[in-house]
Amino acid sequence: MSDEEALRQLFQAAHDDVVDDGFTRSVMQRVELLRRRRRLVLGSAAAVGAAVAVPALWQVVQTLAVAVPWAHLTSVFAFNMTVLCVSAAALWLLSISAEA
Amino acid sequence: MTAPLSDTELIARVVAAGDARAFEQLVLRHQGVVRGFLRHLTAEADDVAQETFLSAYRRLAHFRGDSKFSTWLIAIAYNEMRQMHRRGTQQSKVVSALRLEAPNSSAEVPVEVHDLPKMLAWLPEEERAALLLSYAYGYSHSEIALVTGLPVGTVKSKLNRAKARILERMRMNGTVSQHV
Repeated sequence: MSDEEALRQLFQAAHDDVVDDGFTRSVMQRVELLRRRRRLVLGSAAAVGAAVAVPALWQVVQTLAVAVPWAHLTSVFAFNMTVLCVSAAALWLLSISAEA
Repeated sequence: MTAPLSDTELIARVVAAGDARAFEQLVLRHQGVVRGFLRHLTAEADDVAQETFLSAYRRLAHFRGDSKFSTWLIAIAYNEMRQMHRRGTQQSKVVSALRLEAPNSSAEVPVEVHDLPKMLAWLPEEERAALLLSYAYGYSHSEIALVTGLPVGTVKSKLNRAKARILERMRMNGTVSQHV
């Protein structure tokens, strides 16, 4: 028997597929935990972002209303639009994190 | 009846839509090879295999398809195992990974197969992995280089050294002739 043949014979049985004895289920449980953790992190990030953005934008609108009185109506409209956009962005982020 | 989805299609589903079922299919399809490979290298094969699939899940978007998905997984598995050994939290032990049915195996399997874990125990980790990938899994030198992170030339020299050592052991055991 040649060296190569001897080695091939030695390793022939080494390429044995292992039967799934619940391994896949364990992995998927850990994957699910990972997904939940990601969702929580993204959701928290969205909430923090909204909490920071809304007061800051409100401040800008107030300043604008004082500085340019005739722009009051415009600024109210702008504020409403801003709140709408921020809420939409937060909802979008939450929906992404829910899918992830 | 619909044909089963290919690895590439399943990966696309996981990456695009976070499809957990698609990832489950990938795990189901490849767990045998990954665990089989690791069982020849470490006693903590299943722990390392779990970390491998979690790591693959995190990095799936980075899989470019340059190699087969199974090769990519084996490369992650090998790195995870080395990291685990480096951290020193686990002891590296070669275990008898051959799942041979004890009562009937001696009649059906060549005698020298039983000696594989002992033979491999004589080799350093990199040589053991290279030899396994080459002879048990039929990997090319470049694929072994991809898995181990070694240059192709180094892989060749490690394989030659490992072969020489194994053959020496086999000659001592009388499983190959002295004058081959």
